[in-house]
Amino acid sequence: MNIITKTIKRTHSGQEVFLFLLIIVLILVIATISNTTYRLENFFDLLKSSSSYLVLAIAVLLVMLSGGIDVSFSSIAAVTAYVTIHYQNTHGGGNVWQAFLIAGLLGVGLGAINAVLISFFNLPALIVTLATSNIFFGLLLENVPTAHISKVPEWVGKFGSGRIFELTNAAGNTYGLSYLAFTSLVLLAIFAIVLRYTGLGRNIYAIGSSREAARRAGISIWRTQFFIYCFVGFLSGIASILNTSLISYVNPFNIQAVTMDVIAAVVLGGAALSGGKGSIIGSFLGVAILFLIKNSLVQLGVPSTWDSIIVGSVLIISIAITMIRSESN
Amino acid sequence: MNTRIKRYVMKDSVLYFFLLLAVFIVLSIIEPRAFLSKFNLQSMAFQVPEFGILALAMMITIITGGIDLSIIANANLSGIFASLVMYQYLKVAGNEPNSAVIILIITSVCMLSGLVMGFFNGILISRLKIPAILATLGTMKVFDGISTVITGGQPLRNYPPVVAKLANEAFLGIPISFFILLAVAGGMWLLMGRTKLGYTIYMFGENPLASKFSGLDNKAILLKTHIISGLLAGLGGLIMMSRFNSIKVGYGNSYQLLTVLVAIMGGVHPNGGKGKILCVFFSVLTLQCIGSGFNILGFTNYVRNIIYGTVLILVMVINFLYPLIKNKLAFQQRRKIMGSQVPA
Repeated sequence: MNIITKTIKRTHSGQEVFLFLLIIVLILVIATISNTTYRLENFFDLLKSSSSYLVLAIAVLLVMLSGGIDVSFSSIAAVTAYVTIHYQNTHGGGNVWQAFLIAGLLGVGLGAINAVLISFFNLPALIVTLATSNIFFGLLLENVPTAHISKVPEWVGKFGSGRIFELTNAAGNTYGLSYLAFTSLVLLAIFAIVLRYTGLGRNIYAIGSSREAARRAGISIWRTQFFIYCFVGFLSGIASILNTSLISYVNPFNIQAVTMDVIAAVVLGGAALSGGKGSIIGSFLGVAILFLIKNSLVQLGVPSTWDSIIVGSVLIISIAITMIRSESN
Repeated sequence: MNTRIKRYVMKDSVLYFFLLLAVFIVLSIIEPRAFLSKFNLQSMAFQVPEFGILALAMMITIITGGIDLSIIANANLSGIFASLVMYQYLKVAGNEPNSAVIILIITSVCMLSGLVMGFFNGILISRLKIPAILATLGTMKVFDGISTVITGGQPLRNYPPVVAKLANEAFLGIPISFFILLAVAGGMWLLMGRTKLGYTIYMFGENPLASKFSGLDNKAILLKTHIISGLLAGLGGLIMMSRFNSIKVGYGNSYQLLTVLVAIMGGVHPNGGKGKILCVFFSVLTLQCIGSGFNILGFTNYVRNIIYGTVLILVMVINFLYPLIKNKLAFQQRRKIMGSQVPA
């Protein structure tokens, strides 16, 4: 045990490098065991299926950087997906831009409720969002005519299967970067820049590192927090549309169940719950590892009942490693 | 009023008792026939024990400034382990299983496995220094996962009749499980108010750094807290498997929010250090009354969750505003006494 701890402590490299190496090891191990080869198309598939997770991961990262936590984002996503698709179904289809607009605005509205409670009344974020998550989800299920929507507008199929560019592999099958993956990659890039190069981004890191220091430096804590929780709502709305496009189906329970997985992925990506630590690239790699493990479980023929144990263990082990590493620094 | 009486009335636990009384009276006036019926009162007493025990399990982790999201998963898995061991015993015993032995087996297995899971949480939180919410989030997944793998998501049934008696039979008109709750609450009251461990848990919750520099063993306190929490969760699992006469992954998932709600309602501060067992106990009874009232009024589960969530937020907002208003009142009073000497 002691030797292991010491070895972990000795790897002073950043979390991102560590995760990148972990991904390579994982791919090599899985490829040898399951006897499949990894090609570029697997990478594109992985990106597509994880697109909504990536967007939610940005949201969770923003909150965690500021030293808070939000467990209501998946309930917000469930509400926005259902309301948007239901609205479009009853109002003649619409298009993808309209969907993003409705879902985004509705998300901001719901996020603003969290924002007011947390930033204005200064209440503990975990308990507020636990409560609002139940309220949002309860309101949705109390008022919906059917538990899920299987008839979706026409744009969903086009947007879900469309590609930005296409390539052909040796077997003659086409593959390429899907619209879904493209959307999430663009958002990731934007937020990487916002967090690194804008005042707002630096403020988020600052209030997460030391709230008191940030306050004395003249940063408006409540305004920054207000922005963050509203934005979590917005990103949840966007992610809900991506998720709907991927599975061409709206199922609130399905979306709501991802909460813990996304938080696990972001923590795996090096974000600290105490705030101030974490990066977009790290979260991206965290989501990638989570999906790699989930996909490979299917390939290795492990029954899906094992999913929960493995995700939980990965979460515990990865945080334990992060804790041991941070202790040495 | 006599100051001694006044001080006694202003005591938190007495106030919470009056709150319980008020809710009870209001509901009795709104729905006298349905709410005051023997059936309703008894079914309330049957429902409250598992919730009460789980709430106490949640409460002491919040007092240390953490949280335990894994108690429901812990309770389910404890019940599943107990069922499996009991099945083995039934196989061995053949046609004549001994009721006392069955009760002994399920009680001890539930408590033991709950304790082990609590110990696991405690190790992760105190030794590896993982934040409580993340550690218990992970263990929640793992415990739920183990339960799913063992049972395949199916309920475990076919218990001998004695199992169901524990939570479905009354003694002197009061359910046996309610006595268990009373014993647990009494034990916790003694532990938190009358022992060294309880005192140090409060001190740790109030300020971990101060307790460390006072020479207390912070790691041991955290570990013991989570062991107790796990033990209580295991007991909750015992009552759950007895009341439903089966056990399944996902039983009692709605308690997750409710236990946090009732602890906060009972005056436990989310940042730790504050909270009285008696207050939480009365809050549990109050919430059970409200829940039964909702049932009689015909609300669905979703509406109930909405209302509970709203109540939780309202309680916290009031807790936030109350000291501000109180300070303002005190200030005005002082100004009245001192006349115009105090500037506005």
